[in-house]
Amino acid sequence: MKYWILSVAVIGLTLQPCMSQNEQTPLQIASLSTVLTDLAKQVGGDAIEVTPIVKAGMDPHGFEPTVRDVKTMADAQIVLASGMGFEPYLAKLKTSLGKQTELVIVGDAINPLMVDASALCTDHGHDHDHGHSHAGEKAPDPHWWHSVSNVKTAAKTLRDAFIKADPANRARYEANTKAYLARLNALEKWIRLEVAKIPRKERILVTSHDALGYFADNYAFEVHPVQGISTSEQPSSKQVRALIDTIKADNVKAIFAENIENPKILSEITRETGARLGGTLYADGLGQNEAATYEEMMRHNVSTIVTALQ
Amino acid sequence: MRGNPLLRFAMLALALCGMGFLIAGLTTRPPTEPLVSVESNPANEPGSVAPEEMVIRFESPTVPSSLSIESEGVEIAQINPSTFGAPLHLLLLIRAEGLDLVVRANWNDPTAKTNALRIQMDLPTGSEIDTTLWGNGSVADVITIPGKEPR
Repeated sequence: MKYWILSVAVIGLTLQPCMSQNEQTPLQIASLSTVLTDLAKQVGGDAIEVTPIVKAGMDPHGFEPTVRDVKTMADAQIVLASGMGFEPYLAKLKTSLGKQTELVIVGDAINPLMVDASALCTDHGHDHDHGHSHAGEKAPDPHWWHSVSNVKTAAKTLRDAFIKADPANRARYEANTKAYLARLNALEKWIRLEVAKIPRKERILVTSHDALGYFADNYAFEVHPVQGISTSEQPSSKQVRALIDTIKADNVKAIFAENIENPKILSEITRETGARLGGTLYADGLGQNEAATYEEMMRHNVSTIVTALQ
Repeated sequence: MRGNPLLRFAMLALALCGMGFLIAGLTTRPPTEPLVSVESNPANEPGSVAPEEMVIRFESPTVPSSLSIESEGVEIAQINPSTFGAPLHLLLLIRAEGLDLVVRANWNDPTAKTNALRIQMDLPTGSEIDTTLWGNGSVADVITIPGKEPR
């Protein structure tokens, strides 16, 4: 009997090294973006386990990781970040992660849309009364996920990072990515067909903050944000007045709130201009119900815009 | 007050016939008839552009069972299988912002694995649009005509 138990134990120990990452424990991922959390699930499937550090409904512009968050990330094999300045704490975070944790900054693989750097100023921890000016400077718009084309690049970046960390599951990551890219192609075509319903001269988006630059660039929209690139930047009364004049001059039909924003300023603008509140858009990340995945978020945003402006 | 029932029936029938003719008139226009786009009258707008005749040519290895063109969510042309291959003449208002046309084609052939529709269009600028849509059973996509400066 003793020999029988010993034999089973020896066989078990012998087989263990042959098992892939998936058969043991899934690849451990931590994500600083709700969009990247979804992308990781699409690309990784059952072979990964993703822990969202930034969760749906949180404002990522004002997010700072806690000690507990840093511990979670240090325990992961891969940490996913959007990049392009969206997480101003990344440099500090990098020093807190051990050598066993790979920090994947997805935005580094994406061709950025350059915007006026002054719109980003509050993101790096100071306001405009700090003795230097950003006039004329350009910086990347960090909201790259509003272009499906960029998300395809992001999916491929995740696939490559997962394969590097877990080569045993290469075939799964490749198959999952291929299937997801096909769905993103279908999504891209659906967006083109939907947006075509809006006359080009009426493609004007008045939004809470300037997050839809990539979408606007792809589908010939003009964006008039109430705030700048960051949600922490509050508009002056002069800026609001100028926006009201623009809305009236361009006969803008609708303006849009965001899921994480207080639409109070937008409500005031609608009262003054006669434009209606066109609905809520998901700008800085995913939501919990109707926009729980990237595809759902894009479909929700596009349907909301087309219904309001058509 | 209530009127003669026969008279009421006759008026109802007349109204229904009128609606029927209206619907038929909207959907059975000649397939290659030039059509003005759905945009508002350009003559009333400052810096307006004049409508221009655009000629669109379609090619496909298999004639589609239906082919339509939409502009701004409204169907502006239909091409029947019997007239497929003949150039389609459209009158379009092309403003500075440009114009999107949605082309949709269907092939009633579930056995066909891949279908293709080639679309060629000469632009007023002298350049040309030449693109092919690929799909299984149906294709739909947006063709963008670049903008033109107002007069």
